[in-house]
Amino acid sequence: LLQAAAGFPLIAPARVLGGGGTTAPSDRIAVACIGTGWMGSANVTAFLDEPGAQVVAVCDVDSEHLAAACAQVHTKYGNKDCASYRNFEDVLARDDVDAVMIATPDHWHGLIGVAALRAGKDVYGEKPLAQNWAEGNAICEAARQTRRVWQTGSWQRSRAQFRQACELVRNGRIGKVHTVEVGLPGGLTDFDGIGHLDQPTDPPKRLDYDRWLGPAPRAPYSPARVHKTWRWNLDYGGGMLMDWVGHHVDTAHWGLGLDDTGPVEVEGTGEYTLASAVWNAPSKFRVTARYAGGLTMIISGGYDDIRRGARWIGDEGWIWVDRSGMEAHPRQVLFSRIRPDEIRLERSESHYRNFLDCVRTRRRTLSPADVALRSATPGYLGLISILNGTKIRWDPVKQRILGDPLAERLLSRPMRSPWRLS
Amino acid sequence: VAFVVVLLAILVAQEPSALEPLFAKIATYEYGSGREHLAAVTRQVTESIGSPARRKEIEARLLALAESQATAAAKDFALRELSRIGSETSIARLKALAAKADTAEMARYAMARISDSAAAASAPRAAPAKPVAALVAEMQSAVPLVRATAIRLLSEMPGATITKTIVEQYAKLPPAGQVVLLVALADRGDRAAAPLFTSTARSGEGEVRIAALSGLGKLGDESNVELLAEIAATTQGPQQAAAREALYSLRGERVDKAIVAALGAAPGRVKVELIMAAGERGIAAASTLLIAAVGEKDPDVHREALRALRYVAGVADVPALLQLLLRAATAADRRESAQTLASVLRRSGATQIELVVAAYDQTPSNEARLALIEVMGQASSDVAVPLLRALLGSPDSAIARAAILALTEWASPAPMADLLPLAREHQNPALQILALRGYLRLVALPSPRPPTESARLLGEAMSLARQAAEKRTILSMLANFACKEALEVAQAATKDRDVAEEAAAVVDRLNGLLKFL
Repeated sequence: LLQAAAGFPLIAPARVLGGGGTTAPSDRIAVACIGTGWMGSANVTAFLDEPGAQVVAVCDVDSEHLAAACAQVHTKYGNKDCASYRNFEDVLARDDVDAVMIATPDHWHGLIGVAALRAGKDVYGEKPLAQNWAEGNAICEAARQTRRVWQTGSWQRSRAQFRQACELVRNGRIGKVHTVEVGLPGGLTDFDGIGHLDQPTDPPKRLDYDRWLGPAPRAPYSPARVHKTWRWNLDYGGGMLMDWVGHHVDTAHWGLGLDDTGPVEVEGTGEYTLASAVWNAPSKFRVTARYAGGLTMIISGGYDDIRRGARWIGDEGWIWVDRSGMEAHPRQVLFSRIRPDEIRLERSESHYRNFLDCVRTRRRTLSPADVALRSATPGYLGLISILNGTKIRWDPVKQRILGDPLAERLLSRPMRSPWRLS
Repeated sequence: VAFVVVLLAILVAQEPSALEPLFAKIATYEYGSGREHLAAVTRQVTESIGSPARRKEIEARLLALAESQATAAAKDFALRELSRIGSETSIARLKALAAKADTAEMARYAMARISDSAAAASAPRAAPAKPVAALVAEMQSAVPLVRATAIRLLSEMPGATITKTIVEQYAKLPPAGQVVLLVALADRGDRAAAPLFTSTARSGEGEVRIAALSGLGKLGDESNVELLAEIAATTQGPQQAAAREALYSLRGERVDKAIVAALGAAPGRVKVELIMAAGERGIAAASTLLIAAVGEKDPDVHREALRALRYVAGVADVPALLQLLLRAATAADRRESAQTLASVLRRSGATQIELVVAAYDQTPSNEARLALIEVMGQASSDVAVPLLRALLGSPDSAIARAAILALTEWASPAPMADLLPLAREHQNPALQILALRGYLRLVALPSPRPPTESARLLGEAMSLARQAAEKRTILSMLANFACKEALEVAQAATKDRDVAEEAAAVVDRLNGLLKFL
């Protein structure tokens, strides 16, 4: 162990910042990928495509996911050097791992994220930052204390059209913004046709189900409870609202310069189209968040009145952006140039490269943990409001719920023994 | 009023008894069985949040259920709900439940929620500050991460002295450390460090020079304009890219003036770089110089000036740009001129589109007319619609084709109604397909229309599609509209041999989306 500049113990990575930009394998940032299923496999592919990174290890509690990821790495590099792990602790114990990618289900983000930071790793973590606000906040604290680099997978910040839309809004092209509409998908998608029904059965041998559950309350295995559709169960994810909050609400915040603040009042309603033990998230929802200064954000999922994407409405027009395109009224706003003296947001062609560059230079990434927490907060509070049927008052400076102890309880969740945040 | 009060009192008094059969039903709940009664209790719990008396009653029932002979699944449920509304008065009994095997885990879960506060987790704890001298020493560390962290920490401290201290360390670092130092100084934004960047940009090597050039974009001023233009003109690859980006990013009105002033007398490649910078920075004051530069013989100057005008020219320049298009000597020039003219019209809300429409009638050149039609399409102004609509029926197939393409490129779905009849019955099969593809492009544009209407439009298009390629396009679009109408179109397509497989996949996807919407 070495005593790092910040005064905190860290395990010194062997190669970071030593290569001066060369890409020989020994000079690349050694990345370990934890969670290699759906989004995880896409992230593995992305890091394999980055010349500045070397994927040295993969980790998953499903042996099929693990084998597939390992084979992918071996095929890419033409060797057999990638190590496989079932337990993330073994990955974090490796001194030669500089950074980790975390793409587990949300209920693991907080535990693994904090542990990785405390082990001296820089982290690329999937969105949302964590399954609940308190665990997200714990990640922020750990990142601050350890001075590790954190990039959240809110990759729309690395797409030109989103940056352009945000720059136009920031520079007043539609005047003073009073409302922002955020359209999210609704429903509880049955990705692989498994169905939502609670069908307790023995878990498949390939899956270490107890580890998969980890800190979540015990529950019998059911196919619809795990891969991909775990996000529709509030013990593991947060429904469509929390699945997308790290994209379009993040974009909405970016365009308004709200990266270091939050709403003062949040109110939500939800509709449940089925009563299921495994999918219990609202399938339709509407959250209204009010900010100091009169701005209102409306987050809608499953209703047609708000278009998918983010639409800022100002007193001189509006701008809408989504992955499919960008629109504005008046239309010529779209062709307005951002001049050097105006607010220009950081350009990034790749969210993964931005992370790797920041690992080398120790800069803040485009989506650091504290920004991701701010972006997710309207979702966390909206979900609490939906669950409790109450309006939430929020202090965006102290980041506290005001005058509602029952709502405050839902900012965190107890962890199943023996798991706990260090 | 008295009657209402009495009625309410009766209702409230009756509510607890209504809970009894509900709680009796959930006592036998097992994982995998119906959950309707659990959902009903959850609703009761939620509704009790605003009523302390009601909450107390439900809290007692939940606790009693957890202590009863109910199934383990029912106890799990009861303790989970209790975690939401339980009070400190339940803690003693929860402790007892935590000692029993079947309730231990969820009893602890409930206790943790009731007792703990998330507020504790939110108390910020600041990292202890480290003395400047220690950080300076660590900047010389052989361990890259320690060195980089020290540089970054130091760069975040305020004060001119700190800037000076960091600059002084530059020469003592290896190249990788110099890169980190330059990036940190640039982020720090203290222009006092600019001389280090200027000298390194002139004479540095490799990544150090690139970092210096990039940083100069943040810290430099008008005095760096010519240096950056020269480097951009004489280098290639990442160094050239960094020099260009810096030139485009330099802040201050005086930078624009310096670029315009240097434009006139600059030699060959440097002039090209300055022209590009004028375009990227949108320097309106450069438009006259750029229009003049279009007339220069140097092909690079000519081309880049034309391109830069796309971002620089304003409404007042439209007549001159129109003349550039009409007088273009080559097809490439005509294309560039058309793009430039279209850009200016788009940016200005097409306020001068009448000039383009008038020019169409006046010019005898077919090439120029085709270019003007393209401009009208990109400008997407209603003023040009009557002319374009008329040209759809032109006996000249090249003109008719250009008009279809112009409406295809429209910025809004408005011309769908013009393209649909052509997609339905154009005698020229090539133009029929072109019109159908254009129609599909317009349907795919972002639109506030409801998914059901989009599905109807695509269903109509499907009935007109003759080739598998168009049918596949329609099917891929249908998958984006989660509604019964889209599903019906896809289901019908499963009977079409050309696309049966793709249609089945879309049906599956839509079924998945629709099942729980």
